[in-house]
Amino acid sequence: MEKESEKQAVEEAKKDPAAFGVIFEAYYPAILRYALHRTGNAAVADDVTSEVFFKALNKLSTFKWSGVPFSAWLYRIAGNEIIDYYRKHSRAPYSYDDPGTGCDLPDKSAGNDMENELIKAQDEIDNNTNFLKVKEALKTLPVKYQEVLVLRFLEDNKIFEIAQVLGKSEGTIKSLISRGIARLKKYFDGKTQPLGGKTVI
Amino acid sequence: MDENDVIKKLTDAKLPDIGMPARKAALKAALINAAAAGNKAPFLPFFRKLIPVFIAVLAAAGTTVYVVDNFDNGSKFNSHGGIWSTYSDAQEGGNSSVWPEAGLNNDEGFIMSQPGTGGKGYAARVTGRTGTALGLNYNYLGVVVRFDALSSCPTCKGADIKKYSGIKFSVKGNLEGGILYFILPYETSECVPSRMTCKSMTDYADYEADISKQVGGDWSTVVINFRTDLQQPDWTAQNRRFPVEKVLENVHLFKWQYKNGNGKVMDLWIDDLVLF
Repeated sequence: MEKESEKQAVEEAKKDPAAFGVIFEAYYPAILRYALHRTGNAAVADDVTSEVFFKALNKLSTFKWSGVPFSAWLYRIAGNEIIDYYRKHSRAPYSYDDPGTGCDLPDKSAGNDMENELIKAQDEIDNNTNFLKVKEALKTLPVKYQEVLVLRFLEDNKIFEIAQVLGKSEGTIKSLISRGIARLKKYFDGKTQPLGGKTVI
Repeated sequence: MDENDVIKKLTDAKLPDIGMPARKAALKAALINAAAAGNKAPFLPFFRKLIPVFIAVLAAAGTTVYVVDNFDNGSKFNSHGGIWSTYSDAQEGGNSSVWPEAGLNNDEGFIMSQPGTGGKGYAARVTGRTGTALGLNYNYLGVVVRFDALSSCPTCKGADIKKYSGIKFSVKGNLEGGILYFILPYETSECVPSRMTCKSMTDYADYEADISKQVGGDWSTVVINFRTDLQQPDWTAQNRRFPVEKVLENVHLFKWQYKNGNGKVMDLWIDDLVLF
C-alpha cells in the first residue's frame, strides 16, 4: 500500500471502524505469512493474525505517524503476540516450540472450509523440507535472532525496514543478523559433520 | 558451509503463499462486528465463538439461505407476503411517535424508503421519538415484519425456522440515546382482534439482542446467531421462559424495538434481511 493511501486509510479507520477493512485487506496476507514463518504452525499463525488485527483496531486511535509505516507497527504487534503466545503456553523463549493443546488442529473429519484451510496450510508447511530444516535450526536461537533472520531472509525486508519494525538502529539489526547467521552456520556445520568426525548429540 | 550457504538455506525456506480465504473473510467480519459492538474483551474467545456462525454462513451460502426481504421492489410486503408495520406505546396511552405511522387507521400502511444498501433499491426506514409519559422502561416504538402472509391475524400461523443458525441484516441510522433491540417474538396461533395481532406466549419477554452499537452513519451488517446471541430479559416470569428451539419452531415475525430513550430520537434503516 502506498504511503499516502495507507495514511488516508488509517485516518478513515480511526473515525469509522468499518473502514478498517481496507487496512485489513492490504496487510492480512503479509502478517499471516510472517506468523507462519515465525511459528511454523497454521493454527497458531491464524490465532496470532487474528489478535494482531484486533489489537490494531482497538489501539488505532493511539497510532501516531512518526515516519514509521503502519505495516511496521503491525509487524511489531505480531512479534509481540508470538512471544506472548508462547509465554502463555510456558514454552518461551523459542517461538517454534510445540504450542501445546490450546490450538490443536481440528479433526480432519470435520468437513468445512475453514477447518480444511487450516489442515491444508499445515500440510503445506509439513511437506516443505527446506522450511522444516530451517525451522529446526531457528528454534535453537534466541527470539531476537529468529525475528531478524525471518524478517530479512524469509520476508525479504530491508535492513531499515527491520529497524523500523523492531525499533532498533540499523547497525544493531546488521549486527543481530550477522551473529544469527554465525550461530546458524555453527548449527548446520554440527549437523553435517562427516562420518567419523565428532559425534553430535 | 559458509555464511552464503546459510543465507541460501534461509531464502530457500520461504513458504509459498498460503491463503486461507474463508478464515480471512470470517476474521474480517468478526473484527468489524467487534468494533461496532465496542468489544474490548480478549478477541480470540470471541472470534472462536463466532466461527460456527461464519461456518454456517458459508455453508448456507449455496443451499439454505432464506431471504426474508431484499427490499428490491419497495413493497410493504416481504418476499413471502409478510407485512411490515410500525408500532409504539401510543396504543397504551404513551406519547412516543413513529413514522411511518402505526396503527389500524393508517390506510397507506408501511412506506419503504430509498435508497437501500449500495445506493440501490429500497430499505425499511423508521424514525421516531420515544415518549416520556409511561416512564423510562415503558416508552417504546418499533417496527416489525411478519414472516409470511399466514403469520398475521387471523391465521397467526408460525413457521419452523430451526434449520437456520441465525439472521443477518444491514443497518444504518442514528440513535440519540436509548437502546435498540432485535427481538424474536414467540406468539400463539390465537389472534387478538382488537389489536389485530397474535397473542404473545411470553407476555412480551421475548428473546432479544441489544444492537444499538451496531447502528451508525454507514451501512453495516448485523449477524445474530439465534442460539448464542439472543436471550429473554431478566424480568421474564418463570412460566414465560421457553427454550429458544421452541421459539424457532413457531416464528411469526421479527421485531426491532427502540426503548429507554425518554424523549430521544431514532432514525433506523434496515435492508437485506436474510436467515442463514
